[in-house]
Amino acid sequence: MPSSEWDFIVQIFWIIFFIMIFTGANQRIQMKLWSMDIRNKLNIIKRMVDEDKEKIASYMRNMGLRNPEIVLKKAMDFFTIDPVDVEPTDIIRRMDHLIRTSDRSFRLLIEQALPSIGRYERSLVETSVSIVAALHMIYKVVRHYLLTGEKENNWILLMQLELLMPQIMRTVNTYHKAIDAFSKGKPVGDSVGPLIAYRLIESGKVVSKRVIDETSIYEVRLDDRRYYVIKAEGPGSNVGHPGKVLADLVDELNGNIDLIITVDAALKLEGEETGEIAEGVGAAIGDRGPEKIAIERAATKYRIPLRALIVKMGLPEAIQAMRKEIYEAAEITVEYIRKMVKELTPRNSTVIVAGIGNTIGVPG
Amino acid sequence: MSLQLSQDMIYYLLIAIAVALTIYFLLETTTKPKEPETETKELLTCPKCGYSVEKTFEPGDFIGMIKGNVQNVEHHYESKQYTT
Repeated sequence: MPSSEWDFIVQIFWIIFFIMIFTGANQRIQMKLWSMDIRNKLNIIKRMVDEDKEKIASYMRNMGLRNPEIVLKKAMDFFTIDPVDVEPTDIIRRMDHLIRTSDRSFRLLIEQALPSIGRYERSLVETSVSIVAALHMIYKVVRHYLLTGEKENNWILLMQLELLMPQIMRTVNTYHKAIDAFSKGKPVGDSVGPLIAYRLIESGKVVSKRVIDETSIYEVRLDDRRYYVIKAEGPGSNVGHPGKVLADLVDELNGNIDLIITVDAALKLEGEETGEIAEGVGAAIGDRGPEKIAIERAATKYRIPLRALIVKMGLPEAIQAMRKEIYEAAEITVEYIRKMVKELTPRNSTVIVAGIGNTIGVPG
Repeated sequence: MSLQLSQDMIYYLLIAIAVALTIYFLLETTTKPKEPETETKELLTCPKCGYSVEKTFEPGDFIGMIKGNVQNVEHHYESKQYTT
């Protein structure tokens, strides 16, 4: 190309560049590109939500419900308002009450729609519907910010949303895939706590069993010690109320407990290995507050050592079918707990082990 | 004349490098790593004789579930393990 023509092209390019800079046209083009990209991803989310909704609807139809769409619509718009936190007095009691009321209302909704199915199947439907509701909520929130950004020409809002989209898409994919495990009753990564509890029960001699508040308490003789093993009642999708049950048990035994151990799945940091076990102090439980504080208060009231064990995993691994590494980690953790108890307590002592998490696919 | 020619060559080379880099970065950002196919399996183990067999997961199965008898023996299979 002759240099004069080349210079002309370069000059035209610079003129266009400066016009765009001074008129803000470059920002408008950038905004349009972001909004197109977000809209494409939003359509992907919509497709996933519709697919999952149809899957659950056909599952409910197979169970005898004629119009599952009505129940799904109601379940998806169901909400719980957080308690007032500017006045913290009683907040745990209020939060516990609201969480329990919310759980009961949601269960009643499914129960009334499917009165003839068993508890196990109903728990699977409940959790699957909750997952679809969560996905639907993500879809609505992303759509809200996209439309607001477009309406108000707010390029900062669109830029933030565009930068967050990869993370949102990963979460949506994770929830979308979790439907398979929860609708079929497969154990998930979060079931590692109840699985460890179950293996511990299997290792010893069961003296007694009772179920309180959807939570099982096993009294087990093992390694010359009295173990109380607490886990959500399985094998349905259930997290129980391990905190409240543990606190009541400690009171019932007048605090004559030598050690409390909580075992749970914990989200790993990027770079950490799945199935890694870590030991620490405190209550290993990922609830919003009421269950965790009940354990802490019970341990503090009677000055009982409170130890925590966690099995590390990523969010996708926590809510999707249990991976082999996590299963193997559960086997190792059982031996870890037995060794820990032998080291920290004398013979004939009483120990409480609480396996925290969703007990889907794990009986007892 | 020869200077003009070499200048043009540099321009063409720079344009070629810019185009190649653009294509490379576009491909780099658009190709996603393929997720590995997973399957949930269960290891059915007889607690008495230790005989075990791996099967594909069936909806409704759970860990510790008694699943039929071991061939020709009166022992039970117990579902033990899930892998994906």
